[in-house]
Amino acid sequence: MNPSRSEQLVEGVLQQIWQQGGHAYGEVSVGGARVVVLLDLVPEVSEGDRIFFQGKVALSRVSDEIR
Amino acid sequence: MKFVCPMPIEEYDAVTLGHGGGGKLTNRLIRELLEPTLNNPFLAELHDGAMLPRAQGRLAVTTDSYVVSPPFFPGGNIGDLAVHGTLNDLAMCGARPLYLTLAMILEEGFLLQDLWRILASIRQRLEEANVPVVTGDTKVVERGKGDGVFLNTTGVGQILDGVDVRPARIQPGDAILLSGPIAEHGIAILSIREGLSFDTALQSDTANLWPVVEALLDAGGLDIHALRDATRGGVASALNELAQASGTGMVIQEEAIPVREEVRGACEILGLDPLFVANEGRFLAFVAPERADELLEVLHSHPLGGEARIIGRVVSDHPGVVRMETWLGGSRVVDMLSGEQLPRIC
Amino acid sequence: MKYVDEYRDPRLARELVRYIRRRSTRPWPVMEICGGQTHTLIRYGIDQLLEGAVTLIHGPGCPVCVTPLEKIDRALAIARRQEVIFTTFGDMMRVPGSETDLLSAKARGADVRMVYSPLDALELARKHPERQVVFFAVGFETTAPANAMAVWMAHQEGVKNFSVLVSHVLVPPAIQALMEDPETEIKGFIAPGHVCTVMGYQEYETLAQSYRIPFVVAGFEPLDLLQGLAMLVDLLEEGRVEVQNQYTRSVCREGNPHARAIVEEVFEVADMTWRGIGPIPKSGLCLRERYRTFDAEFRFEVATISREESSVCIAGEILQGKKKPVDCPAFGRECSPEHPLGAPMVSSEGACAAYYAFRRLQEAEA
Repeated sequence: MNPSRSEQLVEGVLQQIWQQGGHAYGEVSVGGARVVVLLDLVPEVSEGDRIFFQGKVALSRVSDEIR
Repeated sequence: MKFVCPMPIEEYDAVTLGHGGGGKLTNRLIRELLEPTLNNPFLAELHDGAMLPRAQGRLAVTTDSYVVSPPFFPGGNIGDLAVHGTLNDLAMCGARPLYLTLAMILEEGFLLQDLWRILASIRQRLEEANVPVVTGDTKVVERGKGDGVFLNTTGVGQILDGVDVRPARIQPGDAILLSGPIAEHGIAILSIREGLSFDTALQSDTANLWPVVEALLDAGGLDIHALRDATRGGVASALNELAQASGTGMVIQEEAIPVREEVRGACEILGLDPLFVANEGRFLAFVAPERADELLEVLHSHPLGGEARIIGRVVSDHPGVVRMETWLGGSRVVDMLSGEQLPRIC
Repeated sequence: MKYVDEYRDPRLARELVRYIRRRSTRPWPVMEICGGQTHTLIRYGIDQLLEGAVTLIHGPGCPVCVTPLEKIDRALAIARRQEVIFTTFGDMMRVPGSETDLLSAKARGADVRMVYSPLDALELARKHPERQVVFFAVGFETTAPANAMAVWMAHQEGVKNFSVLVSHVLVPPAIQALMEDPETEIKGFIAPGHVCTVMGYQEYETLAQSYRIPFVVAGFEPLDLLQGLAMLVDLLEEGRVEVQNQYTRSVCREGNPHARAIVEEVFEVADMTWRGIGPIPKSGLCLRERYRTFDAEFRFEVATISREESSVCIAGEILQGKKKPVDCPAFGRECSPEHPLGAPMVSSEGACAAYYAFRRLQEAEA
């Protein structure tokens, strides 16, 4: 076990988006556990989207395409 | 009452060094807060120790200290843990709880209102379990020398006749039962520290396990070989300790281990493996394989064992090592924690 | 639909295992670069399921493992300062420096705190203007955007008491260094999906052509890796040199332009020493001149601390896939997860720690 693993990407569903101090934030649900992440680097996301984040910063929108 | 004999709580809103100094304030703390709250004939003696009646049969004694931070968390507080934790350790010896002791180390400045909340929880848990605190102690340390409140409880219990539960009785072939979904206590605490919230409220699983353990022992008798509550280090550490203590190997099935969805989500966020996260109301039972299904039914009929599962078996291969069969059909070693840094959770 | 469960379908997984075993004509030696992928492979026993069809060589992709000794010593020197709150991801806490680790320094009074994000560290700095808050910015390209963001936000807001100790490494130069080795046995790579989420995979196309070796960009769930390995085995069996992308749900060829832009804004490419491997030119990131005031090495004047590594530990050769952990004279003796000499023994993603756990099982069964 490795608490707070640095390289970990976590996937969750964006529940709510808001602006604060010039930044975009969102609440993400990971299987019902919720955490707030910064959305500045994925400006195209909207509520209900699935995203990947690392260190509480969103890095990509997860597309529905699963091979 | 306020003018005649005010409670210390009304003069001071926080613990002072005087409350532990042995003088008037200490006296009042004991007489006006502790003794009435924990009310029982043993304490009413106001003696240095408790003088107990002769007991029959074998006794079990256990002691545990509680340093959880923060002391209040979803589903309970340090007082609930201090009662349940020690009752559970007795239960794991197959012992019906008879008496508890309670020692408190308070940090100067700790709010008396918070102390009251903790004591109220302790009282409620004692009443539910029908166990008295027969003696106790209070010390106050200077600000900065403690972390609000530390508790210690010692428990004395009477081992049931026809029961013998201990690691050495674990044998190859034994079925391993787990009483419910794991990791809820640890995650409830970590979630406040890390600012996580949940779709549906997640609470500590802190509970007095004696009633469900008693039901299990009544039904299983000597076919219950060992019991262990999966507290610090979680189910993985409990299994490893017992594999080493009994010189057996253990094999568990990943798919059989119940983990609630939101707990799994929180573990994903926090980078934790739920197998290593603490529980305060879950235990493992090692039972004769031919009785496993029947004893599982006994657990299922009890509110604290409603989601119990058979999670694996004891083997003679790889003594001292716990192996997990993954849902993929692969296999891996479930090792002990190597002292990773985790917040204080109990 | 339950989260992640769809990537953990046992039936599909077994089909993929069967496919790979059927398709493979030899035990293809392939490397997964990333420690997170190593972790999944070991955790689910995938390496064993594929034995004989694919030989997995665990790469240097654990940023904890490759952080040079002197960076750890610099971290310790900074953490010991009275005014400093030193923040780090949990996996750096136990990495041994030349004398001690951060966890021990904490026990002796240093204010070392585990955080889940550099933004949490920045928040600490806002809350404690009287203290100096330092974040240990470790990692590959994956963690660079969040770290860059924290520095950029601190700059924008004028937070003066925040700084980062940077130890960033880049994956493509490491692959290049591995492939320059004439003795290398590696025939294919699983490229790290999280790194490519940020950076895309154009750099890997160049590498594939230079070294005539196929890559598959893959994710971290067991099914991602099995599918990635199936694609890689296809490429190997057909002798095709190309880069394929298994992780299409997160990775596109260009990566995330916003993330790349913020990394570009705050960091620049620099030479970097990899623990156990040595210096690799242009393989790391450092803060650009205009953000230099946020550089903890500069702020606390620790840049001159330098260290030689342990001579017993063969972490370097292990990280390059040249030797197995069991070939190390210290393995299981002076070096164990409780007393690690080298970083691959610290992280559960490290090859030595993984072997250590399995050796225990094998010995117990013998």
